[in-house]
Amino acid sequence: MTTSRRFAYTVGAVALLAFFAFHTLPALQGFFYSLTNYRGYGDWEWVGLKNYELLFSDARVGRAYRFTFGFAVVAAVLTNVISLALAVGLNGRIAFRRTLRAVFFVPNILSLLIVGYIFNFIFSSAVPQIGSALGVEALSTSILGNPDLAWVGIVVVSVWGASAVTTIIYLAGLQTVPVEVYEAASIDGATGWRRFSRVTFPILMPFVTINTLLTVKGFLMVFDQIIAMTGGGPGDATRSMSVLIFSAGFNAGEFAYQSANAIIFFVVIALVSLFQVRTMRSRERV
Amino acid sequence: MGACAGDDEPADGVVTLELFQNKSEAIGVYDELIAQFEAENPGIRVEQNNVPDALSVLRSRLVKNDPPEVVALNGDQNFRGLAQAGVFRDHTGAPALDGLNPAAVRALQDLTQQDDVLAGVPITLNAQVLLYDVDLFEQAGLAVPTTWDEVVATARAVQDAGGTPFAFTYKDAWTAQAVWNTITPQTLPEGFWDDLRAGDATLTDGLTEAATKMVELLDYANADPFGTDYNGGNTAMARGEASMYLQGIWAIPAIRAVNPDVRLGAAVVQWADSDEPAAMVSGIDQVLTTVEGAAHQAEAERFIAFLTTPESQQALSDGLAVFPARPDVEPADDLLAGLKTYLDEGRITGFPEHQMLAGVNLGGALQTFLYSRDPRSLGAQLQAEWDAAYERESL
Repeated sequence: MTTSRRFAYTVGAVALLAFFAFHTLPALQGFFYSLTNYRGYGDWEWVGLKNYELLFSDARVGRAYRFTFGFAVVAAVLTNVISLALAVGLNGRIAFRRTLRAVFFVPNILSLLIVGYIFNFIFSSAVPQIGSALGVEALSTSILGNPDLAWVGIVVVSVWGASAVTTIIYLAGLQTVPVEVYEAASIDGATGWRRFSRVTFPILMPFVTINTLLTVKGFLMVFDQIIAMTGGGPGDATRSMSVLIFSAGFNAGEFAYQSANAIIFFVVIALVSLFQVRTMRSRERV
Repeated sequence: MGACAGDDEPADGVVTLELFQNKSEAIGVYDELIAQFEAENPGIRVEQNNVPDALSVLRSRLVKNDPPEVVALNGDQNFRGLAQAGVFRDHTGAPALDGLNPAAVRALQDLTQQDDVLAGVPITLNAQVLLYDVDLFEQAGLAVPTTWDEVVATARAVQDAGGTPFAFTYKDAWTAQAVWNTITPQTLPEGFWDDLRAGDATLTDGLTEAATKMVELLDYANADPFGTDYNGGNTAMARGEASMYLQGIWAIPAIRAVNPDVRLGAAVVQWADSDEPAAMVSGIDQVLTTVEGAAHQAEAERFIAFLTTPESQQALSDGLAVFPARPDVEPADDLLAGLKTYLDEGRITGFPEHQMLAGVNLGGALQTFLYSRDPRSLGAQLQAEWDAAYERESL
C-alpha cells in the first residue's frame, strides 16, 4: 500500500467513524426506543410495533404530513423559479454584478430562526399597521393569526431564505454553458426566451435536479422558521412533521411514540428523494 | 458546575447542594436567599442552576442518573408527569410544611392526583384573574364585574363609549389557554375530571358552556386578537388601549415594566350562570422537592424548610410578584394582598389545563375553535385528542 493510499483510508475511516457515532448510532437508538413506551424518563417496557400501529390512526400525523408536503411542493417550486430567474439576471452583463451577487447571498448567512422572528414582527405588526393606515381590510390583520393563510407567511420566509444557495448553484450552472453553444444558437437565430428554453435550460438540467432535490428535502424538514413565527399554529395549521415530532416527543412525554413517527418520516423522505432522482435523471438525457 | 459537586465529600466537610430551578425571573431572589441560608448554615453551600428548556435538561439528567439535590419547578402537567413516574421523594409530614396553607398543599396533591403521596413542598402560588385598568373604569364610572352578566354588561358599556373592552392575545397558544383556564373551572360540573377519566363524562359536552362564552367575548375584542401575542396584550394594557385582560398575575410585572404608572385592578369572576361565590383559579408557581436517589437529603430538606420561613416567604412573594404559601405573610403589593383572602379561605380551584393529558394540543385546539367561532368544535376536537392520547399513554 502506498502512503497516499494509506492516508486516504485513514481519513475515510475517521469520517466513517464520526458519521457512525453521530448519525447512525442515534438513528439506531431512535429505532430501539420506537419499540418501547419510553417517555424520555422513568421506566419503560417493550411494546413491539404498537407505536407504529397507533401512528396510522393518529389524526395529528395525517394533518402534519398534508401540511408538510403541500408546503414543500409550493416552496420548492417558488424557490427554484425565483432562483433561476435571479441567476439568469445576475449572470447577464449588468452594472454592479459582483455586489448584487453578494447582496442576494446575504439571506444564507443569517440564521433562519432570527429571520423568522423578524418576519414574525413584520407580519404581526408592520403589515397590519400599514394595512389599516391605507384602509386595506385584507392587510389589517396578521396573516399568521389566520389558520387559512399562516402557511403563506412561512412560505415567504422559507423561499426568501432558501433562494440564496439555490441561486448560487444555478449561477454555477450557467457558467458551464459553453459560449460556442450560444454563438451557434445566435447564428440559427435563437434569442431571448427561445434561447433560454431550448439551449440554456436543457444544459442546466442537472442543476435543476440537484436544486429540486435539495430544496424539497430541506422543506420537508422545515422547523426553525415555524418555531419562530407560529409555533405550529394557529391550531395545528402550520405544524410540520419536524415540529410535531419535536414538540410532542419532548414536551408531551411521547418520546418513544414520536421516535416511531420519525423513523417512518425518514423512510418517506428517503423514498421521495429516490423517486426524484430516478425521474429527473431520465429527463437529463434530453 | 454544581452538577457533579454533590457526589464527592470534600475534606473540609462542606456539603454542596445544587438548586435546579426553571424560573429565570427568580434567579436574583434565590441568590439573596441562598446567601442568607449559607450564612446561617456554614456547612452547606448552595449553587443555583437555571438553564433554558430546564425540563428537557432535568429529564436527561434523570436518565443519566445525575439528579440535582434540590429541584424547583412550576406546578404544571410536566411536574405531574415526573411525580407520577415516582421521580420525587414523598414529602408528607416534612418540617418545611409547618405553617403552610393547607389549601396550597392540597392543590399540589390535586395536581399530581396522588392522595397518599406529597411530591414536594409548594412555596409560592399564582392565580388566573380578570385584570382591569382602574383609571379607565373610574373615568367611565364602571363597577368591577363579578358575574358573567356583569362582565358582558361592562364590556358593552366600554364598547358603546368607543373603547376596547378586552385585549385578547390568541396568536400565542398558551395565552389562549390562559383565558380558557380562567373561564372553564366554574362552568364544569362537580367532579368533572374524575368522571372524564372514568369515562362517565365527555369534553364534548363539558366544555360547551365555556367555549360559548369565549366566542361571545370575541365580540368585545381588540382589533386583531389572532394577530396579537402576549407582549402585544401586555403593551395594550400598559398604554390603556384596552380595559380588561384575562391573564395570570405574572403579567402584572410585565405590564408595569412597559408603563410603571398604570393602575391595575384584579377581580375574580363567577363565569357560570350561578349565584354561588366564585373560587379563584390558582396554581403552584414554584414547588420545591428532592429526587429519589439524590445525595444529601437532610441538607436539601433543610434548605427547602428555610424557604418556607416567614422571612423567606416575604422575600419570595415580593420579589416574584406571587402569593406566599404561608397564610401569615402578606404580599407588599396591594393588588396581590387583595386577592390573597381567596387563598387564606381556601376558595381556590386548580388550573383545568393541568388535568389534560400531555399529548393533547389544548392551545392549538383553542386557537382553531376560536377562529371558527364554533363552540361545539372545541370539546369534540379535544375529546378525540384525549382518546388518542389516552391510548398512547396506556401502552
